[in-house]
Amino acid sequence: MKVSFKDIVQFLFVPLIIFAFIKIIWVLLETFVLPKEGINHTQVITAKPLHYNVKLIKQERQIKPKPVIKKHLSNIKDIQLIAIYADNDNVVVTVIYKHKTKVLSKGDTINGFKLIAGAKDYAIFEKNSKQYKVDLLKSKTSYNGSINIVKTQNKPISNTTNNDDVIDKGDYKVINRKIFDHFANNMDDIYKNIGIQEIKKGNKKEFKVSFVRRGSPFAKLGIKRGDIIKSINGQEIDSYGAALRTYSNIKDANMLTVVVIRNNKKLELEYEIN
Amino acid sequence: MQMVKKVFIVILSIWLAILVFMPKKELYYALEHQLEKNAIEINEKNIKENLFGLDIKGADIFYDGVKLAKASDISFKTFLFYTKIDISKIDIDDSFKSMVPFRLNDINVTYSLLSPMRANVYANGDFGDVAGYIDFNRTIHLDFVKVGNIKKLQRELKKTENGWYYESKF
Repeated sequence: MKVSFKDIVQFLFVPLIIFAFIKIIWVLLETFVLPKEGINHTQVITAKPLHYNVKLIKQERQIKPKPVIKKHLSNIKDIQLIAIYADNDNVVVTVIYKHKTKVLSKGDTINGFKLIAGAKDYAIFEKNSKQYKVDLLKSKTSYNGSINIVKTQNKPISNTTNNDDVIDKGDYKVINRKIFDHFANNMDDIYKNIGIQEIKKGNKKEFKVSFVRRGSPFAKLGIKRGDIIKSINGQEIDSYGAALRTYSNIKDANMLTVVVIRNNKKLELEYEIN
Repeated sequence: MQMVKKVFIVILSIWLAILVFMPKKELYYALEHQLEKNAIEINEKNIKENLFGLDIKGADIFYDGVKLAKASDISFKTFLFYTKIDISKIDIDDSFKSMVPFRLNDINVTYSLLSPMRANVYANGDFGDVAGYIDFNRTIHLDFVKVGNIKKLQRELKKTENGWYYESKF
């Protein structure tokens, strides 16, 4: 049987028409319907840097403070220094201002005063190019002295018992570093001790404590059932992403500030990891 | 017989034309946009189209803005009635190694029109080999066909006389 050119054209005619038709449909879809670019992930940083970890720039430490004006201005007295941590690179202080405890790292500002430097028993703030020395509050109050983190970190960590997982120091609590590291590396164990329930609020999420196991380190932290966790170390906890980010960054923290909503009131829980 | 031949040629032409002219990259971008609505983002280094699918190299996978893992190779293949996705060389991000207590090597997902309501899944890692399905009625069922180190996973698993399995609703 001889196959003529006409036969080939006849045979290919229908497939070619189909090919052309489908190609046109795809081109139209490509042009008018389908996106021309994919999603490129961009890091959105909405959080305040973690205390003690991020905002501490090495070079800043080398800047020697200008001669200190010891004379206190009236409003610098509103700031009481209750704890200080200072090493070659970092300065972090805990102050009381207007009856509230705040944790500041180098560069943070309170009442217009910027924390610029510190030593073992005083901190230096700056306002309008003038510097102010604030001495550490001595042990007549419940805040007895410096949080000398460098020294305590270097000490070998003794075997902990359940009783010294968390030590209550009045306005803040001290968490045993060993316990903290354990939970920072074992998320499963967190969920054995505390239940976190997700509540959708518009586009955002809230994380509510559904239970706290009695006698657990979490109970000792003062976290209670019904608390809504708003932020940890300045990182707003309003999505799983934020929670995961905080969890993955928390390992190296030396201080924790947890803001919770309890009985419709905002509550700030302060912890030192030691 | 001529009629059957013609119908066959038409069907074959349609099938081939759909696959060959399919704008695979753009369809993948559309998938990325859909995944983004569920807070999943994929950043890839390279996308290469081929006749029946596309290959993605160096894909960083993010959930809700947080990097979860890196997959060196992701391969999509489709024959319309049968689709296969292979994800290989998966490296969980260091930050989440404490949360994902196992090493995951490969994941294969296949979807066939013969069972339209489920996708079959096969994965292997240091936990062994698992095979199972994702039901579109929101169920995941995975059987451990070869058991490796499942110590850290055991509390999530159930055991029958046939072995360990994982089941969850989402």
